[in-house]
Amino acid sequence: MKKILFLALVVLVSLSFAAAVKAEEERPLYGCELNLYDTPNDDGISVELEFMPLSSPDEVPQYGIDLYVDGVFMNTLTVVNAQALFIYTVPTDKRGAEVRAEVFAYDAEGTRQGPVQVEKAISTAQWYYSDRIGAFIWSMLFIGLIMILIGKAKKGQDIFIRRIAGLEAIDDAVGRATEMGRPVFYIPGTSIIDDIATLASLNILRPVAQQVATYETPFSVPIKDPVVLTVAQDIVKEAYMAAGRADLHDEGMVYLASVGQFDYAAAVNGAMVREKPATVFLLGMFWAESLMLAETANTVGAIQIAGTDATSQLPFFIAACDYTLIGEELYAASAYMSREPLLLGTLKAQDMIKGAVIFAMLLSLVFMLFGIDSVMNFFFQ
Amino acid sequence: MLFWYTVAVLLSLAIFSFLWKDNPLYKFAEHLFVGTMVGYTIVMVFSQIIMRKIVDPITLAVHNHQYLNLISLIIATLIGLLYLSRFSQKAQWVSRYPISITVGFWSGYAIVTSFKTNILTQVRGTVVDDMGAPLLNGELLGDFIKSPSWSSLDLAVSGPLLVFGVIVVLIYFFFSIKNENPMVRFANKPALLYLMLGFGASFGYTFMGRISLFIGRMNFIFNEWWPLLKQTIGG
Repeated sequence: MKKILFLALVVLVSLSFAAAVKAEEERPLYGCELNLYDTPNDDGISVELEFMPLSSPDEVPQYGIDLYVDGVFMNTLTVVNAQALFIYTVPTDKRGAEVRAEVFAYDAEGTRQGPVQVEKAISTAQWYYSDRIGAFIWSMLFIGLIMILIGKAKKGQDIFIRRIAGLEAIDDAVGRATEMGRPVFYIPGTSIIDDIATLASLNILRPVAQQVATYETPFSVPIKDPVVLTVAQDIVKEAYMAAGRADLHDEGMVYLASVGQFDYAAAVNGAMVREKPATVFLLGMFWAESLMLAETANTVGAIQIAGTDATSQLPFFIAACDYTLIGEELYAASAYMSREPLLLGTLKAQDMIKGAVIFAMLLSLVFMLFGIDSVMNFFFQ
Repeated sequence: MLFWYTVAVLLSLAIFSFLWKDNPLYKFAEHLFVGTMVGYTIVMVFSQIIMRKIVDPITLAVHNHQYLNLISLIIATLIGLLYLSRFSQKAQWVSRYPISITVGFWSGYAIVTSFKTNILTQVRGTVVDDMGAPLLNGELLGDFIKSPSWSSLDLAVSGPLLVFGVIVVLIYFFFSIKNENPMVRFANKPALLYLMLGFGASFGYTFMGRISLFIGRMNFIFNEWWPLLKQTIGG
């Protein structure tokens, strides 16, 4: 038995040696590995090139890769032999282009040898970005939930939303302005109409304007973006009509203060100092102008109700304003005040998705403790 | 050069005078700023949008006989022109169409992108770090127990603290659950603590940025304008 084992071992070792020697003999003088393939998840306008030198830098200090697109010479890539993988994206500028790469080796004397390898690939466009499958599944889940919950809200099912402190103060803030005979300023952020925070703010504008109209309080809405201006003008007009005080509505209430960031801040600051509002709403998306506006409102003695989803600006509002709606509270506020089924259903769906995310996150964390990352990759690809 | 530098300095000082109180100098600077910006924006819109995005592509499409492209450009331009219906009392409702198209398009476009960048990537960052190591890591805790030090403590607790913080803050932003709910009651205080710590750090960071802007302006006045003034007056 021992002899057989010994013989088998000898045969195995001999075969390995033979294979190694054969591989050494077969190894080409200017060895390299060239891989050319269509770029995944793109619009079909590029091809990926991967090149690995196999010869030693003493034998081949440098390689050259000639690139042709549809048979037309494009350029030569020079690769210094560092025995490392070289990656390059070949732009084709059009779909269906055939890219050919020819590798040449430069020997120690600098003589160009080859081509030692030639590869071809065609650039093609992909219909779907496969890295987004996870996001697609989550989005479908979210949209499905929203549809179901909006349907329920429309049928009259009560959807509970908890009390939000800043919103409770709106009545008092508008009442204060009425008693003092001073105006209410409503600043719906400085972003464009596509911004979610701007949309949330415009949803809150309507009930606030309605209340202001009921109390017959002067109202001022300075705007930075022309499209937001058009929407805000309609909202305020409708709110005044809904309050039965169309006679109090003035087109000039909602006006374009300026179109730039700091000039807008300068214009609104000036208006605040001159008109001395008793209440200032700063709801929407803000950038560096947030503290300027909040501080000026504070200087003129106004009560400020602020809210934004810009995390970098929230600290300033918290420091300078009386009430602050933090991040998502701004979206919740618009649903809370308007009681629109669309917003209520969306808010409930958001909560459910947050619950699902927490669950998936905890599950992933538990599996990761045991070194299993497939659960995480499944949920958060 | 000195003239324009002096104008810049005087306008800077006029804006700073607002810190004292509203005054004619500030009003002048404010109106100049707003007027200049509006004028600049009109020129920019004309050259960068009307010319570059409408006139030039349409001309090019006609020249190259790309009629499908031409039709899409003309349709988009016509939709954009509907905004101008605001000037008519009777037809101003038409302006809602371009607004609804813009908002609808961006809302739809943002769904998957937002999920990917704002939720999935962020949550993944709560499960594993940049190197792919899990944030809840028993080995790091074991390392700390074996050889206690500040650095090993930091490594052991920073991950779990981050995970805990994300969860309690997420629970804080549940709006359809009553405040009396035990889970919400448990999460409220630590969530607020996390939020305020984060906001405090952000406040300090941004404040330092603002101070550096102020220093930049002072640097301009004292190290650029003032030496130039002295040099010019001194001959």
